[in-house]
Amino acid sequence: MNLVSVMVRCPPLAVLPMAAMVELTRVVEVLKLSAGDALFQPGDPADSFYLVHEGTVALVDAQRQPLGNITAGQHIGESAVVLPSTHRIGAIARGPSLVIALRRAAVEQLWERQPPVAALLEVAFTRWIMQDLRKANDELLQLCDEPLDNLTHQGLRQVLSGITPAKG
Amino acid sequence: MDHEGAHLTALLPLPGDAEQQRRFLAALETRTFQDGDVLFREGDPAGPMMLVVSGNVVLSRLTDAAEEMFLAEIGAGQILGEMAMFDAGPRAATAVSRGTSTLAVLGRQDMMDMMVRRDPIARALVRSCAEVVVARLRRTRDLTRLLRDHLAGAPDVEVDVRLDAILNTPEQRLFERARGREG
Repeated sequence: MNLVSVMVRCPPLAVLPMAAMVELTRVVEVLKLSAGDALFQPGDPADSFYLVHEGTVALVDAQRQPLGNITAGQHIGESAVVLPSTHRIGAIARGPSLVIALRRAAVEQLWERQPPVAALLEVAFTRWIMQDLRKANDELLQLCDEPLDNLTHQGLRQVLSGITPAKG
Repeated sequence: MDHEGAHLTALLPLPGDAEQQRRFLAALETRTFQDGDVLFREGDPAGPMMLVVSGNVVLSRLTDAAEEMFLAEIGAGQILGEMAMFDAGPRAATAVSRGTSTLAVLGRQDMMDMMVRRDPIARALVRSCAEVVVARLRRTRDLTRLLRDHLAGAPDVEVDVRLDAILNTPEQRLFERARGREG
């Protein structure tokens, strides 16, 4: 597998200059998964970016109910590299799969060895996440056009009270 | 109307110790504004990040009804416009000097150059900005899920529990710190 040619097609990474991309290929891991292998489980530390190269990875909730799939060329985890947290969902290979993983620890090492590459990567990921934020914001606006940022619990509760739920 | 969370400046305090801050600021161009001077207007093309060295700046934006809505007043040590590092979108608010204020100006390329030179403040600043963006994203998604479930008839008790959870996550505390509501 030519990692550069694979990663250059990943939209959040595609903005990186080629020299930075080459450096990045030196710190990623290539994970070979079999059917049923977990990429991560609910409760696992969320600190990695994953790009599916081959196969399909199913996303499931804590009750293993399906949430969707990520297939070849798709990715997940940009936020986790920037701000680690804990996975609320799981990701399980549906069949033989190849997944490229970029760990936050590797990005931290990149800051020491190649700060220009780390800086470009962090800015690229954050720019991508801002696009996600815009989409998330648009979705929220569909439901409620009140400004929510400055509200306390009581304030948010009042907003919810003003939005009538469906009666079954 | 757009939710503030999508675009508003993070209002982060400047990281680093006093000596690191001094060296960082010494490398920047400074500008002085008088009372009422407009630093930038809502809708202006993206410009540089600005650090308040002294004085105060008031941020506001127009509502859908074309009324001016106060957003925040920021002072020495705080930052505005840092999202321009990541996003070329227009300014999300209007910034006006309250009294005389001095601001240090930092363009995107200047910031990248400083990070390459391993300036600890530049790196911490970019990292802090990125963390705030992620915190906003998670909060927005959590609120959307909650609203959807509320509209689908989720019990009030469950909604309250989940609201508490959203408002007590590390991301929410990060978000509130960036908004200047925590120490």
